Amino acid sequence: MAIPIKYNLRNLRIRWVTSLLTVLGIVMVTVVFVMLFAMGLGMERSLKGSGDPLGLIALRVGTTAESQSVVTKQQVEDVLGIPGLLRDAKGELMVSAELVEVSNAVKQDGGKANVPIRGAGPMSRSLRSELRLVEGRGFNPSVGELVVGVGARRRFANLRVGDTPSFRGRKWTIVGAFECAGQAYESELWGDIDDMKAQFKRDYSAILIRCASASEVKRICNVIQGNKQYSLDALPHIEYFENQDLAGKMIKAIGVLMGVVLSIGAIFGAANTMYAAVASRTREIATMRVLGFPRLAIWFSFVLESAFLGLAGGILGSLLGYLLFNNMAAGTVNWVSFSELAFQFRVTPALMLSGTLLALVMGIVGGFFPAFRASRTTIARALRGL
Amino acid sequence: MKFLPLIWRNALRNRLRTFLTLAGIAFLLFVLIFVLTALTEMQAWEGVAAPHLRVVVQHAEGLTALLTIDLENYLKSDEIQRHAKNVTKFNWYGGYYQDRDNLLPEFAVDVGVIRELFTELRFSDDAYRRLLATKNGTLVGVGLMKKFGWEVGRKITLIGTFYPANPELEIVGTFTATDPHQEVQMFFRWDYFDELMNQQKMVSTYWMEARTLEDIPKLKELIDAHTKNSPAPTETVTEREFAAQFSAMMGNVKAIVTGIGMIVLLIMVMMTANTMAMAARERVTEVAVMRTLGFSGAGILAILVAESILVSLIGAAFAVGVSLAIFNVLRLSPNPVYFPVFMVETSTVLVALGAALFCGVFSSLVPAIRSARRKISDGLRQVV
Repeated sequence: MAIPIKYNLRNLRIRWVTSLLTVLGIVMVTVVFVMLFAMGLGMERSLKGSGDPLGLIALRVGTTAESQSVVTKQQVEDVLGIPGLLRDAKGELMVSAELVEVSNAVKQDGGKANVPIRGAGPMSRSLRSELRLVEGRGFNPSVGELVVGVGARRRFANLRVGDTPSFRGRKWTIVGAFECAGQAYESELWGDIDDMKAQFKRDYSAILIRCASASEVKRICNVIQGNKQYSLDALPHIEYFENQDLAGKMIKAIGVLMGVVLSIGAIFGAANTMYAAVASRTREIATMRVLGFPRLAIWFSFVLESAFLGLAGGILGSLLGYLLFNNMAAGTVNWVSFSELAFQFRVTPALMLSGTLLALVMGIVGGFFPAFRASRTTIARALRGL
Repeated sequence: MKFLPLIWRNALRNRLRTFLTLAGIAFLLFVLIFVLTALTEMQAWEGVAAPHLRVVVQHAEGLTALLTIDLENYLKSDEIQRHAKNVTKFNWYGGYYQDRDNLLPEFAVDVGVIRELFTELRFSDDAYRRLLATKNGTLVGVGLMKKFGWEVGRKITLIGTFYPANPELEIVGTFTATDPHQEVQMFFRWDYFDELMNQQKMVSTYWMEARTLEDIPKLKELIDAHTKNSPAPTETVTEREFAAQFSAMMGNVKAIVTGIGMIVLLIMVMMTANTMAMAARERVTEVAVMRTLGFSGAGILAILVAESILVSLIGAAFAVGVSLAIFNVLRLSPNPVYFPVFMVETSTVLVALGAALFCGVFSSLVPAIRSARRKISDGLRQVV
């Protein structure tokens, strides 16, 4: 025979100040957890999501980022000679040699950060099927035109269409803005490869290759890696971006740590509230026992009451986290490429569910021992006592 | 003070509740200390740089662009030497040891001047002599020696990430420093680095020491004007400004971390407020009796607030003790890649204690004022 749930809900309402304070504590713990994870997930999407599952990237041996790598024209030609590379409908090889350089730019908040500038070739766009212009037009070669990713446009001060920032002693004109499904490219500026090579006095940085299948990715990686003559490192494009997600990984680890430690703090708070609730209702509990409710029902009833507190806090906290942080624009340094990575916080349904579950656990654990005490109330003594 | 026993007895009267509050505060404050330490560590270099007159010349477009070797002649000319001394080339090598995660603070410098330029580093004459005599010699901080279990005389190979060369260095000596952050650095010879790079004369920054504080703006003006129309325009900054660029690059992360700290404090206040409200409610009759005996409202208020402060401070003592033990004694770091050193600063401890005090006062104020103001007759009438 179970105690009606209404009993618990009414009790929470009568002690509303205490209930509210406890719920608010749980709300805030949930918000912190949701926020940290949303930040980690945002970074992860911006980096990991940029990898082309059918792509691979070749870099100078030992380098970890395009901006640090140097690949010569000869090396590009060697790679183009690998038999069995994929061609597009027009018969062109789906290989793109690109150059990435970083340069200082002024941020919206006045500070400075490095913005990556990519020299794109004829095949660059075909290799990023999600890229599309959202404003202005594409760049023309050799007249110093650039298009800006929406992430970089959000974070930096003078990168709107029509602006003329200067990088490496040359004035450039921003002629368009593009979107790329939240990927890392959105943090970049794109211009013509030959323009960039001339201005930055550099060779290529990396070679991107699209393959027909995942097994082809592996095969071509092995061809390049296995032959010293290329002197290049080749790795699947997805792996390349995963390796850069140091910050995202760390923030998620800290999110777990903080979530756990803060939750323990909140559990003590919830336990406190529930002990007080049990103490003030000793006679009530004894009466229920007299009416014939078994110990287990009483234990369960109190755990349930505490679980309500947790659930309410979790739902509110997750919603608040969603309202406050979803899609919030942020940026931090990608230490691997030493440039600004623009990203957006992502509060996913799965994250909101995890936040709510975490709060529910806080409530249940917090109510566990107080409920135990309630269930062991001795009837005679409780009824006799004032 | 004579009420201390009473306050103590009050705190102990519901031991379970006091324990739960105390433990909650300890856990939350631990998070606060952790968060604050992460913040101070992000800016640790600025602290190291603060007391020095060192000046850094970098490319106006940021650290990834290189300076010319010709600039060195100008920096060593009389025009500049009037305001500065001990000029050195300074490149962060950006190499890792064995594992990609071990990206080290390893710097290629003109070793002839480092003793005068980095006066806070302490090494033996013997080690310095060997460094000057050994082309591939390196001077390693004691923190780094300990981390990898290196000993003097050992040969180590660094794998370059953006410079395509792998220096094979010989440890010729170790150094200690005032600040533990500097003890995880290592220095080797710029001429050896240049030899590996086929004499391409790649200079990332020049460092020097201003003769006086007044010379710093003069240096900035002279050097930046000199290079203004050259292929490599410069930006001359103090070491502190140089370091601040790195924390600025962290972007919103800093603001977010500060926000978390504030939220933690808020949770703590609410949790303690809840407890104190419960404690006050229990004592309504008792307070009324005390008032009847002649205790003033202010006295009652003080006793309740003091109890709350006492509980908060004991919780804080636990949090501070545990975090000092973990981070400063055992020297554990939450992420050795990002934080090679992760130590709680004295200022952080003070902030944590301040937060506990704040929490103690604010959480008890409302219930305490309510009990102090309640009419005695109402208090006595109430049956708990």
